[in-house]
Amino acid sequence: MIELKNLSKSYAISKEQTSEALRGIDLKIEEGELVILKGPSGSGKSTILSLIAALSKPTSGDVLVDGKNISKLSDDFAALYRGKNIGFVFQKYNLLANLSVAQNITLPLIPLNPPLHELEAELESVMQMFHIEHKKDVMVSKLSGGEQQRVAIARACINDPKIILADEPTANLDKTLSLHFIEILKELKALNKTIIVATHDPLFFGLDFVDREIEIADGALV
Amino acid sequence: MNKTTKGLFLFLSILLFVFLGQLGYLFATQSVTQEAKEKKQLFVSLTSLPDLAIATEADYIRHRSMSDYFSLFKEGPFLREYFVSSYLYAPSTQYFTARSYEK
Amino acid sequence: MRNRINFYLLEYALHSLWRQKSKTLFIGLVLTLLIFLLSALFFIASSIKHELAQSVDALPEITVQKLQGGKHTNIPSSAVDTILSIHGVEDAIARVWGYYYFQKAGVPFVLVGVDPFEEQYKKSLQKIVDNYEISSQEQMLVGRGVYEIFKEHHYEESFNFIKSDGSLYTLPIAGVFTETIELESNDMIILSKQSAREIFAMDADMATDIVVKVANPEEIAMVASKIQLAFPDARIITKEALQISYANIIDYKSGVFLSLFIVSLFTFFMIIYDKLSGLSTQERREIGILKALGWKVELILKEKFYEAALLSFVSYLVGVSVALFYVYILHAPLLRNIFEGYSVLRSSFHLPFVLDFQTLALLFFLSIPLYVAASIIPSWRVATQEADEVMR
Ligand SMILES: Nc1ncnc2c1ncn2[C@@H]1O[C@H](COP(=O)(O)OP(=O)(O)OP(=O)(O)O)[C@@H](O)[C@H]1O
Ligand SMILES: [Mg+2]
Repeated sequence: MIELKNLSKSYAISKEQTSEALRGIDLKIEEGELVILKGPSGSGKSTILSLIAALSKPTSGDVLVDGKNISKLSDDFAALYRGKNIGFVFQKYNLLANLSVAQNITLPLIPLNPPLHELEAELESVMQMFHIEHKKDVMVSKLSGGEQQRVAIARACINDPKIILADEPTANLDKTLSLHFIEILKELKALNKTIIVATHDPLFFGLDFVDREIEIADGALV
Repeated sequence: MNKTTKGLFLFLSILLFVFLGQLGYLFATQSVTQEAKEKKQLFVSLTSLPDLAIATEADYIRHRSMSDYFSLFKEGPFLREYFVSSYLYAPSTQYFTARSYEK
Repeated sequence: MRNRINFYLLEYALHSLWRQKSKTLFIGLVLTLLIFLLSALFFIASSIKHELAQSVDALPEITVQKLQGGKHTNIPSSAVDTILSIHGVEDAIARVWGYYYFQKAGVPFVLVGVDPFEEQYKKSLQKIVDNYEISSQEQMLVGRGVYEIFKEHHYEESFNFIKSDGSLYTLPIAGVFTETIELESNDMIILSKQSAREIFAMDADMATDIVVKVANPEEIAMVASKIQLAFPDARIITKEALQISYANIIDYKSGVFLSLFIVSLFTFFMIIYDKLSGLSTQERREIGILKALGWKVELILKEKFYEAALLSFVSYLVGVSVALFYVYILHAPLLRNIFEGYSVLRSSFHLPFVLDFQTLALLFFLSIPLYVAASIIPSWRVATQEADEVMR
């Protein structure tokens, strides 16, 4: 369960000025829930996801995941927490362009140092799941946008996280591929993952398997 | 450990082998033996002269510690001054060591 | 599981080096070159010092030179008796030696007159001379370099010295000093004192200088001051001063160039540091992504450490190996000029090898940790920032 308590985040723009990205968000997301986070550009969607993933710290308020206060974790524990619990599909995918597909996907496993056969088994299974195994040894920079997206999702899933966060996953995709992603979401939901998708793509609105649509504007819930 | 890592270790071992092998080879063949040391000592005791025949272009350089300050200039215009070697370093005339002062 | 070496990380580091091939190659080459130059200098200097240390025990404790008007001049042999009467003096020998300039070749030789052409010395001389066959006093033993020059000018059997009055003085070559003592004897000619006096046009009762042996090292300073008292116009050189002076000149020679190289080494690290502290956006992004994927700061730094350590360790091994080969097997072409100057007569620079772990360790610590630090610190600064911030 993810709980946001009076969550605020402001960025220092200059010495005197700050911009408030989030102002007092209260939100509860149950385990296994699929939530669409929508709102106009600059409303604070990415900021919320990054706070849940402990990629940044809130200015005030707390993020509780399974009762644990994520926003108070030290750098190392935050990394540990991410490695165990979070699969993040970034807005720009954030793949390492000059590594192969397999190398990119296995990055989250390196800190765990699993035996080679385990690593390969897990790699095979996610690659199959997201239909990318035929590109295993291809440089990511040589992939199409849709293939890159599937690599990003495979990477987010390889450590079998409970929570999957996707930030504008369809921003660079055409309609067919976007629909394909929605199919993937369905599969992930069937695996009982907690999923939060931040998007302003209307394709996501009004889907029947989505549990909730949360709208934010200007850093606050609508 | 896969192929890349194995290759790395192979590469490093080869380098290390070359390095240590060379050290060992040089140590075995080119270090000064007791016999050579005795020969050198024999020769030096024969001449009683200290320096090595490495820089031999002028007398104040060849046995610089036996040279006086004026030798440097006697080559006149033929002296091809080059830094470091033609640099004159006179041995200290302070043969009273600090210890002997104390006594 | 925790303790197993993380080969994936090592592999990642390797790939990372491979990915930036040109950068890796460039840094590796420059680092290797610097380590090579540095270690070649270290090796030469330590070998020369070692060579000198070999024979230092055989040197006389004190040398007495007569100065006249500040210039070195001959000393009367009778001074030996005065010196011998000083308490603590074990032996004093009037020496006849000097330089002979062979005009045709433009080479100065060192001529040393010795007494030991007598029977009892023959045996020991045999050890250091090849093809030894002294039959009379009127002969000479020559260093290998001298012999080569003689041969070049067609003096195979004997050499004609030109005396001060213009007449010729012929000395047959009785033998050549063995290769082992080449560094000491290369430009030397050993002949009888009588012949030396003849060539230098010295009176029989004069000597070039006097060497004094003192048995007790504690008494050297005392003996030296007594000699000075007896001969106020003398310059007295103690073995200690001589050793210091010689050590200084080697250190000085290598030191000047060493400092240049150390400066360039540090410049190199500064450039590396400077370059990396403004890590490219791509490198920053990579660190941010790894962090976001659950890599601890420690792990990221470990990866960077592997990269830097691998690169610098390989550079070290290659640099030092090449330097060993260059100095001891190729005999340091080019670099030896620093030590030889513009000498015409050159030894083959067969330096003795010294297994000097201190030098190797010094080189190791001058290169590897510095490079590792210079490349890790900027990464560390990025890695400790918020991942979100870094990825942007
Ligand atoms: N590092 C930062 N420094 C300063 N301001 C920031 C920073 N990150 C975000 N902001 C500001 O916070 C606000 C929210 O940003 P956020 O990225 O969360 O928006 P978003 O809803 O994800 O927008 P989009 O749909 O365009 O991705 C924006 O006004 C943005 O300018
Ligand atoms: Mg966003």
